[in-house]
Amino acid sequence: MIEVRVRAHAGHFRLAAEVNGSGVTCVAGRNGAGKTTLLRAMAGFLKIDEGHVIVGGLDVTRLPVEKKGVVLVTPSSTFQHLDVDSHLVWGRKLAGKQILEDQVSKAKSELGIDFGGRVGKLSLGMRERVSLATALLTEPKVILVDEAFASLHDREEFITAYSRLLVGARIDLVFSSQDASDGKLADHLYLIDEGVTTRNN
Amino acid sequence: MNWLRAVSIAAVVLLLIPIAVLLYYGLGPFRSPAGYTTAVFRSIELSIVASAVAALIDFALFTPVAYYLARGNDAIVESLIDIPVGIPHPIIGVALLILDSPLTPTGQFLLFLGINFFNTILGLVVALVIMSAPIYIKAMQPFFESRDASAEEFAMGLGASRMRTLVSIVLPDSVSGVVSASLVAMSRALGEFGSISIIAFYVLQYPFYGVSPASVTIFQLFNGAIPGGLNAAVTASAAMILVALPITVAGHFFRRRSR
Repeated sequence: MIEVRVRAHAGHFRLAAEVNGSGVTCVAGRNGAGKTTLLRAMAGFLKIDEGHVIVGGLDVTRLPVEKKGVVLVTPSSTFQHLDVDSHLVWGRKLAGKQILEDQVSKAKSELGIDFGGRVGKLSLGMRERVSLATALLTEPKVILVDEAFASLHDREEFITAYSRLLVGARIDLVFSSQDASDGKLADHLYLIDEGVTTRNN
Repeated sequence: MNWLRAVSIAAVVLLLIPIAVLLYYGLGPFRSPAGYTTAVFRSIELSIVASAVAALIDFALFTPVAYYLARGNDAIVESLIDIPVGIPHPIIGVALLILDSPLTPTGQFLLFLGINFFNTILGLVVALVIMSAPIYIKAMQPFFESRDASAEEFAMGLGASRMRTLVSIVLPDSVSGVVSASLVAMSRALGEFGSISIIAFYVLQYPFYGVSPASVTIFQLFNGAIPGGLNAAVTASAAMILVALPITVAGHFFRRRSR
């Protein structure tokens, strides 16, 4: 469950957004509408002027990024020097969580990771799979996906499979999209324009 | 005619003329065996070792500072770094002397701990760190700033602290940048004279007992420490340049690779 009500600014751009819900949420809007700004504010990379980010009933607004349990995934969210398998469990290892082989291989097969090698040498689509799987296996409370589904050839199937895995792990997902029809892949759809969100049911 | 290019080349040539002339005379007409004695080579050796150690300390202590400045926004720390740069170098030597003098409480304390800067390798290295660290930071900071922050933000989202992110994510990906900045810092340390001529005119420890840093040795030769000292100073200077040049070139090479 996430409850977000934030006012923030980046340069002259003003954000006044609200996102509430659990499960899968899609934030749709055209280029420059404020999707990235909203997700960055939620992840803690943009200073919030006013408002709150509540995750699972816990107010994480003032917590440092690494303590929020919120992961932002973009197309560049990869650790180039690692190989695929150590990349996937990087966050789990860091948290001192047990690494379960079944869980890792299930994520790999469901998300189409049938390749290995150094992450920096993979194609963009492959890297997106690896970073999204890494976020999943770390088991944060929320995963925010900014454009990181964009280069997947099986985009819709991937989002569906990814959402299923996240529901199983009780992780909420918020993803941005240019296309409001992506709302059909989500439990909730928000439209964003000029930094202002509106709920679309 | 590309005037920008012509002016640039001419200006750089002006910069290099004195060095070229020195190399020519040092290795040619003024060449003197007194300029490449064992004593001269020992002092070049001391300078290289002390500068390399200083560069290693720069790396260990000031890489986090450069990263902090690149990713944070701390104008105060940033301007504090410029202080040693803006002070005439001999003053840093005097400052270290006072800090570690038997006449001051700080010195009494440090000497009680066995920490002595005056005419020691330690004092030499400390002075070189102070003089080269700002250069190291100034080389490393833009390197970090030019990195895409996405991977670092991802690591932090996965639960890594800033320090952990630097060590596990940024550094493995920054080898060429670190090597380049360290070599630039080392060349800077090799060229230091003002501060070390006061705090460590010569050092009194094994394996460099009685050896002066190269810049000090050259200064002594120039001042007529031995008859025919000028020729010896010019030859020793040329030898020093030949040693320092590859380090500068290597730093440049790694900087290009890191782009």
